[in-house]
Amino acid sequence: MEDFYKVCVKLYASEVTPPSGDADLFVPIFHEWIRDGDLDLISLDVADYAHVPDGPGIMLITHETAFALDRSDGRFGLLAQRRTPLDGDGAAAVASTLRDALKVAARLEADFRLADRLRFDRSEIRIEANDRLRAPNSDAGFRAFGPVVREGLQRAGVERVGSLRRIENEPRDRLALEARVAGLSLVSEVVAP
Amino acid sequence: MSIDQPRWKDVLADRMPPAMAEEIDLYEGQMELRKQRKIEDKVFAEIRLRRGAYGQRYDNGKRYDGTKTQEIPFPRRSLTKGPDTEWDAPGMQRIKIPYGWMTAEQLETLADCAEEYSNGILHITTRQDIQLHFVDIEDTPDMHRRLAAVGITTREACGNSVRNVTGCPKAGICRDEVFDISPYAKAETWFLLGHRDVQDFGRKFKIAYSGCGTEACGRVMMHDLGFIAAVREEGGKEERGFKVVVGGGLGPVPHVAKLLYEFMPEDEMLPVSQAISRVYARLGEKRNRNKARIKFLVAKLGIDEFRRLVDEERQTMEPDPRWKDWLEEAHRPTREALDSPATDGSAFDAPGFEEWARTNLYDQRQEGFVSVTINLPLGDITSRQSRKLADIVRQYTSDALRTTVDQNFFLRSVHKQDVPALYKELHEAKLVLSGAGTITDVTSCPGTDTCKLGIASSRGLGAELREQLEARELQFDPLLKDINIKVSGCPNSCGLHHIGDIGFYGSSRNVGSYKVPHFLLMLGGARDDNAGNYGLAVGAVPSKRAPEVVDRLLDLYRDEREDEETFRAWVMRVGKKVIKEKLKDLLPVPGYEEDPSFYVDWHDAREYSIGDIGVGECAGEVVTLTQFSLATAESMAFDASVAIDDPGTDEEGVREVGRGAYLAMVAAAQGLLKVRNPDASQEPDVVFRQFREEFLDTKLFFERFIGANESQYFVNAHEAGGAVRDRDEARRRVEEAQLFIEAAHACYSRLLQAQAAEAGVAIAT
Ligand code: SF4
Repeated sequence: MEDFYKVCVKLYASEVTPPSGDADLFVPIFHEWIRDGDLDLISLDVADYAHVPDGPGIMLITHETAFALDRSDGRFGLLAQRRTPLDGDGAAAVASTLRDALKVAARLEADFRLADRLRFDRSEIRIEANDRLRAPNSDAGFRAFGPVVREGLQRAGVERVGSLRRIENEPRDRLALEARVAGLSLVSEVVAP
Repeated sequence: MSIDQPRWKDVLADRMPPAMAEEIDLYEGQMELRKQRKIEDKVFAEIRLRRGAYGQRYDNGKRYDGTKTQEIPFPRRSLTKGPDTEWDAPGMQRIKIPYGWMTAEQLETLADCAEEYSNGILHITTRQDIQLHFVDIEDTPDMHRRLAAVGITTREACGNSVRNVTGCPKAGICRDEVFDISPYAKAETWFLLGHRDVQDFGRKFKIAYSGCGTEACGRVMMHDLGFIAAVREEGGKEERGFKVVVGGGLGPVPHVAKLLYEFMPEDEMLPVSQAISRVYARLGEKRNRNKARIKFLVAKLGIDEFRRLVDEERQTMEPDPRWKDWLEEAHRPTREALDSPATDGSAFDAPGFEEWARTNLYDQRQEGFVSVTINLPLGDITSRQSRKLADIVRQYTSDALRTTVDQNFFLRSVHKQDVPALYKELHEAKLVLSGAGTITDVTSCPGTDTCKLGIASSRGLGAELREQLEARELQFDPLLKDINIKVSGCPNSCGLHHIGDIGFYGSSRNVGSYKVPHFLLMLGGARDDNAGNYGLAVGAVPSKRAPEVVDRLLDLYRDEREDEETFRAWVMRVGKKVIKEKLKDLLPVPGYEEDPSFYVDWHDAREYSIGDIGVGECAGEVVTLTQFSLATAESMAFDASVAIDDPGTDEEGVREVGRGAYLAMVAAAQGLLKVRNPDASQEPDVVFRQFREEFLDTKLFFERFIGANESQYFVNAHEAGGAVRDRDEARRRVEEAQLFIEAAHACYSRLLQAQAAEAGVAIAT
């Protein structure tokens, strides 16, 4: 049986610099990345949901992970959603998805078209279990998923994982955790574009 | 620490109907066999299609990046899920929602599936289905199980089978209906689902129900089989039944359905549907997909012969208790509303209420109740919004809502007193877009966003039009608000462009050595009479100018309208020729250096054209000759379309239309011949013979989805010597000529590319 791998990681944009006009900004950037093979992921397409309120905005879809410039929880950020199984356990999925998110975040921050307009918070990460069967949004789900997340963050090289808190959300939403972290480096994860 | 690994198959075992559970297990087993190469890929393709698991753009592992076509290095390159379809490529899951009816629990499950297996977006189609995109095929069996556990099946959502049975979303609450068609559509759905007599069709089969003959909600006249509610007096008693029509369809060449029975008693509905299915399965075309829809069989046999065959078939059928055992329930009154209002009717401080109420509420025939349209941009809603909507459904109704053919949700039987509170909650969920059913409620198919057949960005144009029209608040303009706009990404008409007052479908044109996205403008379609009037093409407009074209049309209508004339009546009176003339200045495409934005489609960043392909001077001259012929062909087809639209065109005129459309095809074919021979003959027989030798026998005219149908249209027209039997055929010939010309444009683009590639090689060596 396949291991648990459906996880999401969200990096929030700093509140002071929310970009606007998502489509005009991000659609060309993502298309360029695909054209130039900028990510070490199998890039597939760009999807535009900017017309949907509080939705995934502009998405970059790769075989491994889908990236959304997401507003679904009312805050703007980069949501990375693991799409396909990978070798390893749940912690490996968390680590890999976080690494993917960091790579994309670093590239966005470094893009000249977004200079001084987009910066991601280095101290807070939202991690979600996108699998209601194996990690339901319940106390039991939190008890099982919490340690997996902690281990995954460590495996991803996060220097210090502080508090790990269950986010009180709508019970039908995904199980969601907030991790306070230190030593989260975006740029070190990638070769700058 | 690890996560438990339970399986949906075990967890839901008690909740799935056993037959559905078995089917899904079987499908999962077939997936395994395909992975072991024990099932042929084309067989597996039909298997998955019949489970609603569809292909999606780029699933052949290739993607054009604006400069070149790149291979997508999927991990399992040699494993396919159909011919030329990579296993690892994401696909689309279509989910049937019979007559659009669903419960709050079903909506919640759909929302969960969208989040876990797709991108958190539910998309409503023009046939009331729900579609999820970017789905991994490995996820589909579990998704199907979760849906089955709440009574939803994806069986036969695609493939050569009976597709989602659609019905008016207002059924049961409508002020104009004859009776509520909901239980009939439901009975039809479950009777035909998986029925042995519907397993051997040559193509898909679409059925629709309407509660009346005049309104647009059911779109019955554009369906393979349609039922329109009717009653008659029999022995002093009122008897329910249906007017039955057959052989309608949009697609590249639209057909209006033909009358099969003026009145068919309700207890004959299922046996007659079965008899029609048997006749279609037995006599319908199987080898040539392009001639396999039932409309071609009806056209070939004639409606009288078709009726005789159905009647004969009906007599041979063994009685089935299922034909009638649902009827009692169909007559039982249903209750959708809460017994009493949920709130005291207090007003809330939520902005925009008045405007929203003007366009999104419908007064039901039941005193004291309204229905509410949840207007969704491009038919999209997020999973979170869906859950909030599910709560609202539970709170204000007795648990049901419907999808609509306009890609919206429809919430029925709400106590008027509850409307302010309901609005407040919808407002919090950001679901209070006004303008439902108006000019701003633009319908659009997926187009190039995800559809493999898309030629231009229908969703991009749809979003742009919606935004621009909303900014001018035209949804409240008494004169313009009722004009409707429909956009398809290609001639297949999933966006229903044939029945829009203003319709567009995607096409491309060559300008110099570039390709430029265009849309074919259609005018004069109509939704009323159950979508019984189709528009005809006016001509191609550059994609980037389509919003200006709409503006110009609205201005012209505003200025020139007489008395209470509708937009359609204005189009018919003024004529497309005059209108086209008035749009003339919007048709040219500026040079690439002058404005490169024309060479990129809406909401895309990639250059649409093939770029500078380095055509030499000699080829340049040939280009001019070919384009000249294609332009001539277009204008001939256009003239024919104008003439066939004119009610004053007599029999002789109709014959000329047929001949003119044929000669337009000859001109387009001659244009292609000129690529190699600038002096190509213009004599029809010679053109046809040479075209057959050089383009059909060599298959040069065909490319994946383009060319096969279109060349057959030319062959048919030539074999008939350009003659047509009647007005219907002449109209069809015009449509076919336009499609043939489109295919000629596509073929010409490929020839240019090939020339460029050759030139490149020559330079390199
Ligand atoms: S109309 Fe064409 S582009 Fe649009 S969904 Fe249908 S086949 Fe695809």
